[in-house]
Amino acid sequence: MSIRGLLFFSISAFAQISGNDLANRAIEQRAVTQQAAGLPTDDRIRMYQRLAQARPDQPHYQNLLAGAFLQKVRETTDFSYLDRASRILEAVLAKNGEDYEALRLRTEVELERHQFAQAAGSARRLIAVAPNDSWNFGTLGDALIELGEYDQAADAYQRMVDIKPDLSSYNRAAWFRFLYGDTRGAIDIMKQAIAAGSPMPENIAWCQVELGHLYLKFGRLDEAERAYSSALQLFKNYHSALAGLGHVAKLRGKTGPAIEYYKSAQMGTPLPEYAAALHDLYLGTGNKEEAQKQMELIDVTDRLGQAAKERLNRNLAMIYADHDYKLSRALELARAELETRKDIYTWDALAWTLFKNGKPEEGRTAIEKALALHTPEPMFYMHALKIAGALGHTQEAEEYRRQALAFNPSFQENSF
Amino acid sequence: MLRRIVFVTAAATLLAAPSFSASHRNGPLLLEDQTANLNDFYMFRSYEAGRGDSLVLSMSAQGFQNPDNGPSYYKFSDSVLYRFNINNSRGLDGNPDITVDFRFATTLRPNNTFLSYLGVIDSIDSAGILLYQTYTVTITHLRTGATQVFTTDANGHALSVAPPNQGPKGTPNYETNLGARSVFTLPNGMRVFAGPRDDAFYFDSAATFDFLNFRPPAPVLAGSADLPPGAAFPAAQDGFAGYNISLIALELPISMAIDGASPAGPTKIGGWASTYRQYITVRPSPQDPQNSGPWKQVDRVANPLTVEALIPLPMKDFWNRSLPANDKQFAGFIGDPFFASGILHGVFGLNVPPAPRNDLLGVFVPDITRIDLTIPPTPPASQNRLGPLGGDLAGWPFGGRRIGDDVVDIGFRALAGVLVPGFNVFPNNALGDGVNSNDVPYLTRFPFHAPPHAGFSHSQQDGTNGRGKPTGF
Repeated sequence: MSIRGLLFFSISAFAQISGNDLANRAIEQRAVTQQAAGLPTDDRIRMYQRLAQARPDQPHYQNLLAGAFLQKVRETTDFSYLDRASRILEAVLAKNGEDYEALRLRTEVELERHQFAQAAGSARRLIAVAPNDSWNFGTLGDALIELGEYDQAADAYQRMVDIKPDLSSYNRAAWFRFLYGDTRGAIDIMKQAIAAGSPMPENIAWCQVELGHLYLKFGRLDEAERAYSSALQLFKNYHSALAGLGHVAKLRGKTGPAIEYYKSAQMGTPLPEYAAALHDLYLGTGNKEEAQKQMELIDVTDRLGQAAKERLNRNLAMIYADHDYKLSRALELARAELETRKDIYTWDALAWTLFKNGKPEEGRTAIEKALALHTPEPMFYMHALKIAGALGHTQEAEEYRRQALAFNPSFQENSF
Repeated sequence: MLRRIVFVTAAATLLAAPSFSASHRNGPLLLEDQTANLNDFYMFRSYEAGRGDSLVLSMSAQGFQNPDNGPSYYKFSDSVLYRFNINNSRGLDGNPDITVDFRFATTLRPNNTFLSYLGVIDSIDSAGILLYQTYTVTITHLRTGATQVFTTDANGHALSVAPPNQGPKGTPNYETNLGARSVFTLPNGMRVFAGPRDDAFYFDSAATFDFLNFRPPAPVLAGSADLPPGAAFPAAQDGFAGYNISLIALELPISMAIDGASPAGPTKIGGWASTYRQYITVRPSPQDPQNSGPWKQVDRVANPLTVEALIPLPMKDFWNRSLPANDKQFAGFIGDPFFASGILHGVFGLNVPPAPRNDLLGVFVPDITRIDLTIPPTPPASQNRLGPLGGDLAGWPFGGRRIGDDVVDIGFRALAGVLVPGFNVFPNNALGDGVNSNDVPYLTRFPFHAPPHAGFSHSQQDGTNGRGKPTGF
């Protein structure tokens, strides 16, 4: 065999020799990652599928494919992509339980599935192996925030920034600043996250939507609108940006455009929140039939959830409570959520459903937990002052109103 | 009623999963960074006529830019500090002695469109450059602490980023009107450039995706296949052809790079590029976070392919934020590279030098690009793509790294041990991917990278991406 033939044969064999993909990196990593940067996610998926098919024994390509599917989950909120990612990762881990890339991605799958305690455990195990990889501190902090372990979450996020200031660590720091009442810091750091950028336009658009949400909470409608519009420009038909613009239009009393925005958002990603917003908007125009259709959609969501043995759903609980509808079910959902998720938003959901179920005293205890960090979340204050009002604590209600007006000068308890 | 049932059923099938999933805050985690990630670092004695006493440093970022796809997307990041580092003393220990920083600022000129560029742009001052980027250059001599800051050139013109090459109508005579005009001379005699350029890197990336199916005669280049600069249109395909990068380039007198110590000064210096973002605290702090934090290093690059070839994933963040001066901690990965022992020896049966590979440690620890200033620059027509391995000493890895050095082939051969006495033998000294030259001709003047491919002419139709045709018109 000629040397060239021998080499060719050997090179083909090399694809099968070991799980160590260091060798590949030398010549392929750069080309692959650069080629992928700037590709739309669907094209990335196709490219990685080809690579994974051509090199079935290289788990690296399987992992890249799983990562692209996880990105697709972000973009579409379609859980079938999560299942595909999960199947790929489990197959890689069945062959090699130590595959670091796969374990790292699996933690993200756990978070998407709301297995927060499990995700925290997985992240901690990976930190023990790779204490210098910022990713694991991100997943740890994300899990801890949902578990209500804010102080530990801050440590994890700080470590993430220490290792690498970038879009992923900045956006988490911005959120933490918001949770702790630093409105200016939250906005400044979220802008830094946007400036830091990502090869995935959706990632940047996601931060722009978050920035829009922050502005909205502080009553800065024009800036919120600009942030949502930028997101939409960067990532076409982004459902959360469309819904954001719908929210701005609704607050401005422009019902027609608000309905159009929410309908566009719903067409892409039919979240129950969008149905609830549309229900209210249609009702406002006197279109009871369309409003009713939207409420039926929400009901179907709940029935499907129950059929899937889903016991908890904070979002649904809030929608029911807001509409004085299925109130006992709302309380049941919120209570179930609190069993595993002790963050301030779940405390708020519990407070609000308790209040709506005629238990303002218990609601007051819960809302105080929601406000423990002094988070400038207008919804918390709206709930707090209504609970205080129902209990006849007029002064307390006024104090909540004063605090809300301090961070949002246009705060109105009946306009959300 | 039927209509309603259809609507509800259709929507409900979609509703099932998302009702649950979107209710936690799923902030993005990055598989790759983009704006702060550097692709390549170059450092060489200028081979521009009359400039042999100058040193050129350049760094490329944001690879694989599609010339016809949203040029505004490829702007430099305002939140990143881009830095050239020069190490000229202490035996090249990997600590910087001089740093040259580039910071960008973006101005969106008022307009009623979503466009970044509008109308005919035939000057770097055209009003149609709606997305206008300028930059500040800061030079710091670390031993003395002396600092110089420049925001304009010697004529008082703002240091502006070259606009993208849209095509003969939008940006006519690109290189004459815009590219060359974006080279600025600073009041201290340095020259600078920032803007889009052709990616000078060339490599048959597609062949590696197909089971490392190099196109014959690669991976062993014999006879004419190995002759510089190689066949004009070899069978191998340059996977980087037709794509642009964002380039930052700097030309400075050698006397400046060695802190004026010439002629008794150092004859060898090292260099690398690095990027930084600002540190912030997660917990609220009384300071304004926008400007409070010190700069944190997030990436660095010196020799080509180091991090891809030698540093494992869990270590990458750590590597990227460490200083070359501390690279001994990575010597274990570098001194016994799997590619050499596992693949070249274990699989191909090539006779390669045993670990520890002191020849590699000498180049990669610390990971800085080294240049011997006593080696005169080779005129463009006489340059050999294999640099010192091809008898042309003014290239990688001893004469710095030039734009056209075939670092893939040099890397293959170096890993196979050709720099170690007794190992410069066939086929170790004939390895290569088969792509022996860039898709388009380089410039023979600063900034040396070829002008960017035009959006208008960008075509994958015939698989050539305009290969061999000069860009910039």
